[in-house]
Amino acid sequence: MSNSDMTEKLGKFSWAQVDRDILATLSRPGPVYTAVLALCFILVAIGGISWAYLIKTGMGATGLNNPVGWGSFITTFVFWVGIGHAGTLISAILFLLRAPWRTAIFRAAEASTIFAVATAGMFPLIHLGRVWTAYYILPYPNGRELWPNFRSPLVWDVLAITTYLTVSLIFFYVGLIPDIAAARDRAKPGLRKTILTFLSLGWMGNLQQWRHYLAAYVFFAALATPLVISVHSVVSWDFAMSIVPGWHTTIFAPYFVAGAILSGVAMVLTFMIPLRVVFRLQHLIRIYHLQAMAKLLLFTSLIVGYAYGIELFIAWYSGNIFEQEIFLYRPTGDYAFIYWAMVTCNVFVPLVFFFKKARNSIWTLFIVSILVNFGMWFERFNIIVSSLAHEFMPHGWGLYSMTLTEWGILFGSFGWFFLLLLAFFKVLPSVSIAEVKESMPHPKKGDKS
Amino acid sequence: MSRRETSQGLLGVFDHYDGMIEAIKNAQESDVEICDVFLPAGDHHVLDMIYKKRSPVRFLTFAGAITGLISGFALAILTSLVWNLVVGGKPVTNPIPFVVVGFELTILFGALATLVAVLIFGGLPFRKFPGKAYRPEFSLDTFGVWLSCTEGNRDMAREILKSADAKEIHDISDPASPEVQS
Repeated sequence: MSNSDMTEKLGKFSWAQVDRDILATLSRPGPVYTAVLALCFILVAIGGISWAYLIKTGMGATGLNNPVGWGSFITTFVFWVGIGHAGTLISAILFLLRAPWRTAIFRAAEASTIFAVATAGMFPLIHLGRVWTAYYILPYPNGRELWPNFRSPLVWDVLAITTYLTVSLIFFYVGLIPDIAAARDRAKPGLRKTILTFLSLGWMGNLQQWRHYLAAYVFFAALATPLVISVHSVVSWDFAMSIVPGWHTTIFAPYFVAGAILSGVAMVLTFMIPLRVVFRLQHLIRIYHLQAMAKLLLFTSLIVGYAYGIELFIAWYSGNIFEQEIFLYRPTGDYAFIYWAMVTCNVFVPLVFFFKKARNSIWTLFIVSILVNFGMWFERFNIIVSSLAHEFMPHGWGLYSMTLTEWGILFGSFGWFFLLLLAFFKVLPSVSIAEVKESMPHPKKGDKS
Repeated sequence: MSRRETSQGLLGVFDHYDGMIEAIKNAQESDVEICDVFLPAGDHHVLDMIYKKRSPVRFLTFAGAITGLISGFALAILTSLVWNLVVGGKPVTNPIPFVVVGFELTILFGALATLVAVLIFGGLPFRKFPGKAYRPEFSLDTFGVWLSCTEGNRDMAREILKSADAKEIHDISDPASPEVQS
């Protein structure tokens, strides 16, 4: 569908109706919303209790031991950072590329980015065990003149993740200001209106404000675009800078970025499909938008599939017996189930989107997106755990399995992410009012009201 | 464009985009000054009609990004010189890994400077909200054109707004009551 086709379809609605429909999402929640929120609270409670138990007991409460020192926490960290890629991709890169289909979905995707990165940021702290010493990694003046080692990819990671979170948050908030103003002007007098007035910074949509806002938005997008690429590249270097077989490869940065976009797009589909139904936004978030997401998912899945294949080829072609051993071990060894679940969910299942019928089916889109979410978590587990479990010397090999504490923290992270997302849907507009209006025909004399 | 809060004049409220454009064009062709325009959504066409120069936000963005780049390299280089840890005879300052630090701070400072720029140049936070001329419907589906005028050209300003089919015309010196209700 072209830009003009979409504009024509949106032209059936008035600007006032767009306001009303989007702001209706902020009304009193229904039973489905409340039930899902309660479930999220339970998961967060399970996660919180598990973390408290971990802190009290020590890292012995996890399955981590020699040789597998990085397990579910680092896996889940990389998973959530990946989920956080779709929002900025959709809001920044597709904005610069003038992709019209981003308009209706980018706000919710941006919110998911913020919450995913905030969730991811907790996992290095959880993995640290003694979380109260986390500030050691920050570059601050101290009595011993001891500074972090800026040659370490772990320090790069701290810089990359905090920068990404900060820039995404700024981009998200600045984009929200005109919509908060619209919500403020429709709100009844009371606490909500006062908070919205404060958050809208006195936005009036006058010439001076729009002039600098629109200019700044382009710069935010231009700054965020290389940042999206860099963040998961830096995360991949946590692994690629080491000499561990299966990790030490130059393909890791593009491979991780493609995987991050794949998982992020899948997660956006996973929550966007119920969102448009529960909040009755089908006329704004159309099947067309979901189809475009499905095409992006298919495209990134093909890149990821290529990366899986080329890894095997390079292991064989390198003549390095350690590389060959690990890439033989992954599909045939102790974690073969994880490997094949990863390949099935991330490579074979998305192929269904080559068929238009599948891209048109809401249920197919929803199920595939969930399977890809599973697949991407398996991918990170496969990369991290199998390589450490099967390093150079056979006497150093060992196995890792997750304990109940780790499962609790994993489920808790999902509860935390969806709790934040659900709260956002009820507090601030989850579709950009101003940008949807921009993409619609402007009200003109002679239009039917 | 004159200073908003000290200006008197007439505010035309428009239901239609083309009516607003007509009012702006007519005001530009006469000697009536446009004090402000209110839009529910960003519109480059209107901005191009009013402003001949690009927004200065870009200068602050550039300055922020350059400051970030220099700060990133300085932080990495100077702290490695302070903590002088020689490993395997390798140089203490090593520019290649420090590119990551420089890059991240370039983006971070660039974004922070852009935020500061949009706040300063956009007059945000606007503490006197809602201002003299603002109407809540300007964030919904109507447009506002505020013409700055004196007693001498008030009739001309009113005629410009009326001829462009303004739904309401308000006297900004007394914003509570519409001067003309059509």
